[in-house]
Amino acid sequence: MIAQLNLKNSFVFLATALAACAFAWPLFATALPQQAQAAVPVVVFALVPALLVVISLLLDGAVSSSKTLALLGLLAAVGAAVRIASTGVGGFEAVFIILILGGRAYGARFGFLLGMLTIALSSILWGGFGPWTAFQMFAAGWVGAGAGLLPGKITGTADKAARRKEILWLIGYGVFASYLFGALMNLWFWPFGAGPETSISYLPAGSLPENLGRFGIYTLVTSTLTWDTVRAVTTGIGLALSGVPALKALRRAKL
Amino acid sequence: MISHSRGRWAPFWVSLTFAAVFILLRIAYRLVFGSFSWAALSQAALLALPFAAVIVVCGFLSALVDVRKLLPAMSALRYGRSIGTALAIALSSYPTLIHQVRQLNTARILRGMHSRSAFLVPLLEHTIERAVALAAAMDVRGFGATRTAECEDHANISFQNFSLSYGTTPVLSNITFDFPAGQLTVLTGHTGSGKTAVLESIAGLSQHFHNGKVTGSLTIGGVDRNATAPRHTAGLIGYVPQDVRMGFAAATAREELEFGLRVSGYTKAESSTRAQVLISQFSLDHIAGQPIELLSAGEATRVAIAAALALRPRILLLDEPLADLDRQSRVELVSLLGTLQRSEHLTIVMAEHHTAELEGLSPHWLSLSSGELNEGLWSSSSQVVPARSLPLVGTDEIFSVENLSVSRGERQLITDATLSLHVGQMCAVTGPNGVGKSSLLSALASAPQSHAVVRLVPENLSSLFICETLDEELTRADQLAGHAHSGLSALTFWSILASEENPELLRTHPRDLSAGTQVALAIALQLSWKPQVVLIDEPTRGLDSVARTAMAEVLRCVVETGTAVLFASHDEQFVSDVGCPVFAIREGELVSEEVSA
Repeated sequence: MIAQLNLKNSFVFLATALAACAFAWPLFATALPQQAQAAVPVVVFALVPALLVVISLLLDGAVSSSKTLALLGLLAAVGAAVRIASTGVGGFEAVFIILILGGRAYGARFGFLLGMLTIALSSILWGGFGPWTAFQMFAAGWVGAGAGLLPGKITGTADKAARRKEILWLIGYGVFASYLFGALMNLWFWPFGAGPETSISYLPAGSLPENLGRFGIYTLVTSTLTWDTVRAVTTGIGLALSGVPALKALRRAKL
Repeated sequence: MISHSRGRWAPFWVSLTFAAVFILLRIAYRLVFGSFSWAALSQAALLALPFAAVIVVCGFLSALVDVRKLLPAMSALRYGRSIGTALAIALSSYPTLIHQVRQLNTARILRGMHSRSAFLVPLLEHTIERAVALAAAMDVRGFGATRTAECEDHANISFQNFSLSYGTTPVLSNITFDFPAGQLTVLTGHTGSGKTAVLESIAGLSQHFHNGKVTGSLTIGGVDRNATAPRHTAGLIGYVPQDVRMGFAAATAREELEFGLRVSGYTKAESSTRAQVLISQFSLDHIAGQPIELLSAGEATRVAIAAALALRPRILLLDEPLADLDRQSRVELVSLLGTLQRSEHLTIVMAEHHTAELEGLSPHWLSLSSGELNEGLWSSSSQVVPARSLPLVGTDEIFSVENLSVSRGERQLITDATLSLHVGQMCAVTGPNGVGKSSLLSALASAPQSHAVVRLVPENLSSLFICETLDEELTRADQLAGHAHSGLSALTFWSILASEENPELLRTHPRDLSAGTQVALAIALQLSWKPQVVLIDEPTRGLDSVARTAMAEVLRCVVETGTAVLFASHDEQFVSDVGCPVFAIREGELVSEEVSA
């Protein structure tokens, strides 16, 4: 049983690592010969959805109980419901808070699936399916899984200081994850997003440091200073204001 | 339902917008970070076309393929079944969650909280309560069952020295009883006496879902309940929980019935056929397609009973099905149960406070008291608070509305309502479920002249609770109303409960308080604003007869402070016990009624 679980875990880990490489294709592709480079984006666009299917099949058995499924489904729907019912800022940001808290309370696997399903649901509702959907599902899944993997997990009888410490960890993580999510989503998209022949363009023949520098400026001006900062601030504030009681509420349902 | 209303090609139009924005951005980057020439700009636009085309193709494909229709196929697969089911739950439950978010947002404003994120915690708490209720419903309906328990022809329910405890708290003690097959048995007893625990033990939820510890034996038609999970007796036992709406997963009654059948392993075609049969059998045709959160309490209960009987079980368990119904709906439901029991030879076990209506079915009466089961009807031994006359009403008019019209959605409910309240006056609004009582109170609370004068205690009052303990909740109320550390809310709370301060109660989670205490807390929270008028929606919701008498006393205490009280209730007995002036909603008009002596 344990050996089987470990085998499954290592496959999940392998698929995740492969997906991470696919996200970073602009940084690797330059090392390939000229003729092969054009094929890389095509391979990436096929690989990421395939890996998504592989991971969800691998994790499927981890969420077979009715309680886990009901929680997974309803928590994924809550984000969408908040987004529809409230206007302005606080829509997608509430989704981030729920992802982080859900991953924290119920573990990395649950967090990954929650992130994946939340994006799937909102893509279905808003009709926003595109080449980015599979990438978004992965990135959101990592946000949820990361919260589950953070150290400092507390048990039922923890005192106030331990709870506060946990929330501080989560706030730090929430800010970090907000920026990382933006950067990751920019990374795979960058060669398409910026287009050729600008000072922020991807150079198919460029060196790694050169491309990293250009990507840095691209991501800084297109999202880090704007969307990502708004997300980081609202996620941080939301976690600070409601993190402790919200986690307690989530943990009242024992899986 | 968003994408339905936007039409099938919505994803395609969205993708066209995305593609256009994408091309514009490429041109903008070229302008800002590259060199400017018209040739360069048109080249940027041209080079952006291939990826823009990919976006549009994706949009086109997702318009062609309706993922909602793919989901049932996915949950029938051997692999990926769990994730498919979770996504199906998410898709079908978000409309009711939107409704919940709106309600909590209203409650947040009623509590005077300005922070937008303040409803996140109650929202998560509600979501988890629903998830647990839904999971229990899925288990009882046979989700993930690998086998069916073999059961004898006579579905006898037999308790032998059966005891149940949750953690260290004993719930049922040493019960020995055989429930007669093919008959109706009614469990009576006050709130918290263990009625729900008996039903959940028969359903197998106490042992296998809530992780209760049991001793003794419980067999159902020869099946050892303590060793058999609920999902393996889905075709044998149907269960209607107390708050039926909590366990609903879907957006309409029809989808709810189909969801339940699919959970138990029916194919898509089978489940829609069976759902249609149930819809006709339970006369649900006119409500089958309506949003489930807009159904009246009586309609919701009928849907839940239809769902519980979908797999043709031989035992039906019902937890206080009459609790929230008006008199007419109670009579209808009781006659439905009588018919079902006779025609299908069902064994029915139900917990209920409303015993008068059931006498016509001549059921077998049982009573529960502190976890012990006895024959006969439960009679309250606790002393009934003698009804006092209402205090004198002042002559100063503090609130009045004229020609107020009330509507829900597009439906006009009440036209030209006129109403005035005096210092220390109590009034009741009555009428059957769904006539517009709650809408009237909401409209009164949001009328311009109500600002800073009127406070509303809504029907779903637990949405007002935002803290983790009763103590914090009362302290928070003082802070919000601008008199921190005054202890006013606590004082109000204990005086309307007419009890001494209880440290154990203070540490309790507000949602874990008994129904009556929750009403008292909600009233105390709203009184912390020192309003001149309090509007209370269904103050007797979920209360047994003793608690109902106590609630009448609570309301008298409130008006003695000079606050005017207007409450809405379908509980005619309670309204006449209180003995205050009554308004009724009849044919869309608010009319004053003579006080019945």
